[in-house]
Amino acid sequence: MKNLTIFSFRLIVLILLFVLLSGSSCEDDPISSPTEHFEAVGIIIYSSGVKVFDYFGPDYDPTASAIDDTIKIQTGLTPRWEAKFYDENRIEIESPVDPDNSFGAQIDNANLLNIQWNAGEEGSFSFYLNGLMPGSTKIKFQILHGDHPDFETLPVVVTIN
Amino acid sequence: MRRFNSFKILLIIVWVIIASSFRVNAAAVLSIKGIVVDVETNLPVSEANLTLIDYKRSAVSNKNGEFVISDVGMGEYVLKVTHVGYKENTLNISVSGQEGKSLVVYLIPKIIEISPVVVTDFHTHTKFDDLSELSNVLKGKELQKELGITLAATLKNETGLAIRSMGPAPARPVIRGLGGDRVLISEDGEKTTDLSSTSPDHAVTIEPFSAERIEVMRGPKVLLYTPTTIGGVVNVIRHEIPQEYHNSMSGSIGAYGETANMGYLGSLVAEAPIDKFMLKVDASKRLTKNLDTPAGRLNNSSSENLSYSGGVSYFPSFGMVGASYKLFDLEYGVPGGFVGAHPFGVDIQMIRRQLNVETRINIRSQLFDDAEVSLYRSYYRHKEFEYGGLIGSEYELENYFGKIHLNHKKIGLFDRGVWGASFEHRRYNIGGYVFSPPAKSINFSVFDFETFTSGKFSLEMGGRYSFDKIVPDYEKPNAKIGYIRERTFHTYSLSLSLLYEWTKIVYVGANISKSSRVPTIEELYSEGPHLAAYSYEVGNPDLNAEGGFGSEIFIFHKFENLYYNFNFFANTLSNYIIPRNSGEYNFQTLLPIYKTTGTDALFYGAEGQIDWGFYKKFSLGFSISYTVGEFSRSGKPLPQIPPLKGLIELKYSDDTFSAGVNSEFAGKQSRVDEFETPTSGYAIINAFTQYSFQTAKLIHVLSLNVDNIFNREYRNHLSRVKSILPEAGINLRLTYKMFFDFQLPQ
Repeated sequence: MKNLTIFSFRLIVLILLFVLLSGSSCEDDPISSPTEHFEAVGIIIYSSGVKVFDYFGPDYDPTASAIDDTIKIQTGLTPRWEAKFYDENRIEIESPVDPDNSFGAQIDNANLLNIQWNAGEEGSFSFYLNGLMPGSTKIKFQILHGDHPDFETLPVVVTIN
Repeated sequence: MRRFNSFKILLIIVWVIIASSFRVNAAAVLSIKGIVVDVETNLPVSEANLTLIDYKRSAVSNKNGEFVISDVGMGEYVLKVTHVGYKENTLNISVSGQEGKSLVVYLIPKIIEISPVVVTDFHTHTKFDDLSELSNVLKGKELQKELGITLAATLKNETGLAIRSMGPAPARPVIRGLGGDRVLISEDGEKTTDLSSTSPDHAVTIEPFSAERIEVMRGPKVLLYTPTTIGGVVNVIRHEIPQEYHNSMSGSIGAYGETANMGYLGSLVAEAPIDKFMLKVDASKRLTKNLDTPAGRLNNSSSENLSYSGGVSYFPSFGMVGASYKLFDLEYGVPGGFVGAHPFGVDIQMIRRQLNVETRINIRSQLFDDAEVSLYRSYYRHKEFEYGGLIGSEYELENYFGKIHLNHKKIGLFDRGVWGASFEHRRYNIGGYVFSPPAKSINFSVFDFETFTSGKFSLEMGGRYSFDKIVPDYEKPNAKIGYIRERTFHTYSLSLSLLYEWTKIVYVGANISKSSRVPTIEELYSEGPHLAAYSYEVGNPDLNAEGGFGSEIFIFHKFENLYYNFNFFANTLSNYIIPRNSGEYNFQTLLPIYKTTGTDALFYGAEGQIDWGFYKKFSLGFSISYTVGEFSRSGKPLPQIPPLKGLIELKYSDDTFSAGVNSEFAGKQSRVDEFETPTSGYAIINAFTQYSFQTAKLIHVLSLNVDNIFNREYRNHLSRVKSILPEAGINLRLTYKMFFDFQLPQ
């Protein structure tokens, strides 16, 4: 019985020690809640209310290196363009308002073309394309979530005259 | 993995002379007395550790070589004798009520062969265990030679195993074409809590460097751990909770380096008694940089890992009680740059903390030997970071697990067996850019494992019943993937293996099993992009449990310089659950959609292994494995099936030195699923050498491997990044371990 008491005491100390150690784990780092994502599958670009480009993902082979539709611009800044988005039923949806979301573009040849915004509006859905010199390159329009696109188009050929 | 010579040496170790008696006390509790003697000098050996393996009672010989293991009952025991300067010995002894007997144990000095010090204290019991020990266990020097950056890389040359990977760090073993949680990965018999089975970008939270042994279990015994008999268990043994008391401070210090990723590791394992407690600490730190391949550097493939644990145990008269605490912290990169991937890849941080409590109660009744009870609480956290540092997805697991094993003696026909039950509660939480609902799961299982020997026949059989309940935090009747709701499952599994001693050196056997597996939370409820896996995952809340029927025949032979075994297997699975590339794309993310489906599948194939000591200390090893996996109805190939693969090895080996060359080879895999790409075959040449030596009370083992000597470009069919870069180019691996065992004053 005496042995049992000594043993029990040691066992309790032992268990307490390990419970304390266990309690020091990082469970106080709360998990972030699942982020909403923007469920667009298509984009329409307007210039002063006139459609200049239309892309609907399901219309294209997603493994294609580029789509056939071409955007044609002149050197210099285009008029201010505005991007709008639509869902899988081709119904227009509100542009995302989450500050982690931004509008952007990946351009193959930055010597030919870049994208610009009015000061203070970087990443907004109203933008300009800037043709730097005549030529042809590809552009992918994206809605970025961090560095990850919630939505992106296939590469689109842009011809600068 | 096993060489016959080593086995033979273990079998012929020491000579036992019986004299004298066991003293019987009034309560019929006996003791085992004896003396340990050097076989060459006949001088007594002090500080030898003597342990009754099944009962964990132990003693240390005094300066006259004498020992007493007290408080034992009548019966049959297995006594293990170890000493830093001598070869380990195990012997069967019988304790009766007769007085006047004592043991004389002769030990062979280790200078003859060092290897026993670096093998572990496992003792085989049955012919099945012998077979498993020969073909399915990696330990000692062989383990050191094979050590790689991950558990899967360490096991890559085991017969029947392949590696599923997504860069160097996230890699997991695949057995006979079956991966995911059909292969249970455990540490000291306890299932590891991580998400490595759910996605190829998730790493296994085990550092293999300090493992004492790694065993691949198949057959009825796996039912003690999992209902999935088709597949298997990879159990890493490190004894974080000390299992024996010994009056010495022992352990190892290790270091590892390799050139393909400029990686290095430092490791310490130490075990020592304090008062009546036995303490153990185990720590390692590993760093690797980006992997160099013959076609260039694999960007974002570096990793950093810290792993440590502390364990303590106490040995009261009833048995043992102990606890351990473990932390595993890993950061690694998942490469990008292929179709659908992030251009720069994704970074993953994961951490696992685990608290284990374990006790063994010696029952010593007519029916039971002992009871083993273990409990653990495990916390796992995992974050996937986008290139800009934002968290893309996040997972959290909290696991409570408990089990009891009642080890019984002979009952009716059965020689030995285990009755058991287990309980698990898992909380699964998800955050970030993932859309699966948080969920809880509960599992309750009862199981039985029995062994039976009669004449030339040996039999193992097992059964397991499981109840599973999976409860999402909220129901979602109108989810795109279906009705997300609570699911319950009642499943059972059975397995039976029969072995026949055809001759004294040739055994034939067969196994049949009924397997079951419950779908995971991800398989049921996933919906959305998986950042690091570069896929858009769609679960199926209507999935039923996976079932299967497995059959296998095998033959093995062991005699002097020749060992071989061949296995032929066929497994049919109903409702085989796989995430399958649907050929569709999510047009928001342009990610390929992987839909989880249940389908009927057939796996069949063969494995073979030969070790032939053809001339003095030279041996030739050969292993090969081939699996065919196909959809039962259409006969079309299943995805992610490894190609024919094998190893051929020429080796020189003496007691302290070994060297050799080998060739790993794989055939072309052109039997691929729709939307899966074929992979070319390859053969690469490797070389290795290993040297062991002793200084004072230290044993040193040094291994040098040169992998892929000719810098050949080759690709692993099961690698998700094979489309961008091949496997590692030429790689020098240097491994050093120093073992110590300092006797302490009594």
